[in-house]
Amino acid sequence: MLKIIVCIKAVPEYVDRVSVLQGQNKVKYETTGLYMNESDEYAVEQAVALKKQHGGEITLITMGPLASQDSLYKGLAQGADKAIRIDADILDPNGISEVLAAALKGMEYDLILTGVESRDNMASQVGISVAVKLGIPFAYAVTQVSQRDGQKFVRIVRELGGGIGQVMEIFVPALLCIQSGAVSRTYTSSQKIFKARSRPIESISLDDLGLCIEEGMKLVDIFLPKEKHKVEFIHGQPVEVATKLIQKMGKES
Amino acid sequence: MSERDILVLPEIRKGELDSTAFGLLAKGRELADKLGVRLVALLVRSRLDGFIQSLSHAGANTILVADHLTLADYNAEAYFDLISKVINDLKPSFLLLGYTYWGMELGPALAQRSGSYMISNCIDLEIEGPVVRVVRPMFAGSYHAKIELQVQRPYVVSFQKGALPTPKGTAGAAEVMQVGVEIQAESLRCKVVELVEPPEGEVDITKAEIIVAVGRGIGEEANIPMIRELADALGGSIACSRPVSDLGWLPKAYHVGISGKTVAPKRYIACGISGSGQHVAGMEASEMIIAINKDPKAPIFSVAHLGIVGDIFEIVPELTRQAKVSRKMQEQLE
Repeated sequence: MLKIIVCIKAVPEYVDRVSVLQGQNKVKYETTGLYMNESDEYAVEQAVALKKQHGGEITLITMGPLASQDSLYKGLAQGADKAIRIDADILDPNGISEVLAAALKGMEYDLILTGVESRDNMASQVGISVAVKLGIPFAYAVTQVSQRDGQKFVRIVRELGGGIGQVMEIFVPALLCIQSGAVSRTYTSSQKIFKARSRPIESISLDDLGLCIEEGMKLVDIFLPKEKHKVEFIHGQPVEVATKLIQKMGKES
Repeated sequence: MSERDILVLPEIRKGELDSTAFGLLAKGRELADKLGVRLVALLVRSRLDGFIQSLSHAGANTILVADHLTLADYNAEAYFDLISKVINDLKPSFLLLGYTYWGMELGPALAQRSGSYMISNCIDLEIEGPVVRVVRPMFAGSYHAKIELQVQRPYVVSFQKGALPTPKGTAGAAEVMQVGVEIQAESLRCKVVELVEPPEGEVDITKAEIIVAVGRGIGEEANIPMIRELADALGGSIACSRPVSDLGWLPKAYHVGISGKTVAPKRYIACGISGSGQHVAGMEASEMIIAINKDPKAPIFSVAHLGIVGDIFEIVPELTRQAKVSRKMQEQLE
């Protein structure tokens, strides 16, 4: 029996017309909707795989506006048992960590799983920060998790970068930031997701947690990345493009 | 209150100093000169002699050495405890580290314990009086955001690999100080069982002069041979971004990026790769980068020298055909 909590985030997949929302610390953009952050999907899949082996319970938790609930429904359809949404919209990962840690403090768990990076803010910060706030051991970029029933630790494989990894044993309760690769994403039918929509989602406010978050960063500007070099675009039909490209590749260095 | 020192945390992986260290020291030197404080580097490792000189030449005033057998293998918990103690004694105004797996794990942990404000994945940082501004990516790297910090020092700042220019060497001779290390290995809640290294005799894409890399845009495994054929026609090697090796369409040894290989070939042709920071950090030192992608806004175009906005399924086969023709012509000439 494993009690697993998975922290997920709903993020926009593609954004357009991006600007700073004046007077507020927010990014204004157009998008097709919010989806579960890809990296977090692997964390949910890992939790489901562990539950299949050991039995147990999976609780999803997210922080975000009402539109984030779709991601929770998806996670429920994938195999999670409960879902919680903290109703707050905070940009600063330091603030998000504070809120999540406060919500997790009173909960029971053997493992807390997160992804490695969110598509929108790209900070890779919240998971580890929460672990330290809760005073539990942690590991980043975990690609495999296994446990023998009755053991007080999990055996993991984690990446160190550059193709190198480590096999580790970590005492539970622990927080693991799950990297893609170990468990593949499975297809969840829209029928299953539709059915999950009738399940309850617990909603918590910052007031409930007794928190008032002041963001430590101010968004000044948002813009397209400056090109490292001036990129030269080659236009035309494939035949033409290929000819020009082969010429340029042979010449310039 | 007088200004506090700048602390840089160079990463050592598999006995080698990670290249991010030099950019961090250059940025640290700039900050230290502006604030009129010392630049301190902390080396955590069991055998270190070789690194002291290079850090000294990179502008460090002081090098703290934490030398202990238990630290020979990276163990996040042991490193975290040790570095936290150093921070507690030194109380630096800035701690700079790389946005690598190492820094992604240690950075937030150290910030939490030391009560510092963490800002990660930065491309640049500037200070102007009390104001600190950073630039960092958002939305999968499609945008960059300029952010002004609203809280006071201390800060922990991590920088993207390759974002900071490397310093001009100085003649500086840094003072070297040993840090007392006490580790009770038995009390650690994380234990390293073994290191996982790529199998011997594996292909080495880092030696290839031409690389044709494939990303998620390839759609399905059955299309991989199309890319391999172009690589063969150009006399180069195939490679891929993370999603392709995650799916098992190519072995891990072909994966380019922070978590895989770092390459710098003469020609790097990215086919259907959007260009996440993770991938770009592994290939941006290439002499000439050619990007083929149907999305004109793909971040890969901001690092590319030559760009083609189009369908890889139309362009790659044509490239292969012409490359074969020109190869044959060359062979006949020789």
